[in-house]
Amino acid sequence: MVNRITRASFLAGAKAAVPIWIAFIPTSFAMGIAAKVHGLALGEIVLMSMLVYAGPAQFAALEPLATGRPVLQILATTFLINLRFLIMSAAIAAYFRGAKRVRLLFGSQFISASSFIIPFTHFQKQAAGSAAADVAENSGEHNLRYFLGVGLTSFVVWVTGSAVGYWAALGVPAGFDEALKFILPGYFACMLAVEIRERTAQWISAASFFAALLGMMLNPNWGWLVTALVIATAGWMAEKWIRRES
Amino acid sequence: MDTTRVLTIVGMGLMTYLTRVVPQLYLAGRRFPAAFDRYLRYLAYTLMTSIIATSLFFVGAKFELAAAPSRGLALLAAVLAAYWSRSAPLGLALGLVLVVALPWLMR
Repeated sequence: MVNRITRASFLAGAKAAVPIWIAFIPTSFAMGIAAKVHGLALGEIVLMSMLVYAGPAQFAALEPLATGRPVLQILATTFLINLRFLIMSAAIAAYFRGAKRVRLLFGSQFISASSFIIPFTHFQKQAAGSAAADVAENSGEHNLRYFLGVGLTSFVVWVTGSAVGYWAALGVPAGFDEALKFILPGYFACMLAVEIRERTAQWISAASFFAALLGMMLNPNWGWLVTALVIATAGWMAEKWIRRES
Repeated sequence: MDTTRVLTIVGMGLMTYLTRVVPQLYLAGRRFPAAFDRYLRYLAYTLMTSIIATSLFFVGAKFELAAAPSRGLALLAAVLAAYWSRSAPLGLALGLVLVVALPWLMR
């Protein structure tokens, strides 16, 4: 009976994940193409998609990996970009109480910005709709299964998509180098344009774009990373100050 | 596969896994201040835009001056199209067409 319920939870999660699969197909495909353009091996991009499983951090690492930039810079960038997972993971962990620790250790790998939103809103609705006394004894375990249904299936799509993208790039005829170079930065820029609707975030992002070019000219290894940190911090502090004033 | 690259990728995986697993084990249900959440969001945006700029206009430490105008124009058109249409694929499609066509037109 319990097994049937947990299987049903997993399948319900997988069904809810279909929009994530659709979103992951073009992004992971572009990731595979960009990896090929940067001279990575197929095994390297597949390994990266499996171990990192985070589009922005993978994108950030392609150029530094290809050009042999300092390992410390790549690791620092990865950590800073993925710091947002701390907040997501802490928020969703509250719904996994009572789940087996080994399953939590396994499931943690599948937390991403996309695979966080659907289960989190599902658990919130579920919690709001049931009184505390009605919550099943194994709800943490069921919730984790639901999350795995979303996260694990999306992970498979992501890894497969990056491998297929790499393979597809092998067949692109010469003369399309510019398109191949443009595809991943262009796609992420478009995704940010769709996502960022707040004026402050737009100004901060635009300033960071131009400052990075200057920073890169001053110091190719750390310049752009320093400008990104400085502008994010300055913009955030300025916004806090303006809010306090008004 | 290059050994240094593979080890770096493994390191990246460990870094990322830490940010995912530590809250599961020690911070379950912890709420962070909204300001901290906003700061991390801004940081992700500035890092992303910086990487977009550097990966599009540089190869290693070299600024690709000759290709910069066409790539810059294509990126601007793509971003504006995505913003107004609220569709990233549409913006990208326009950008791809322009980045291939502009160097040919500018000859």
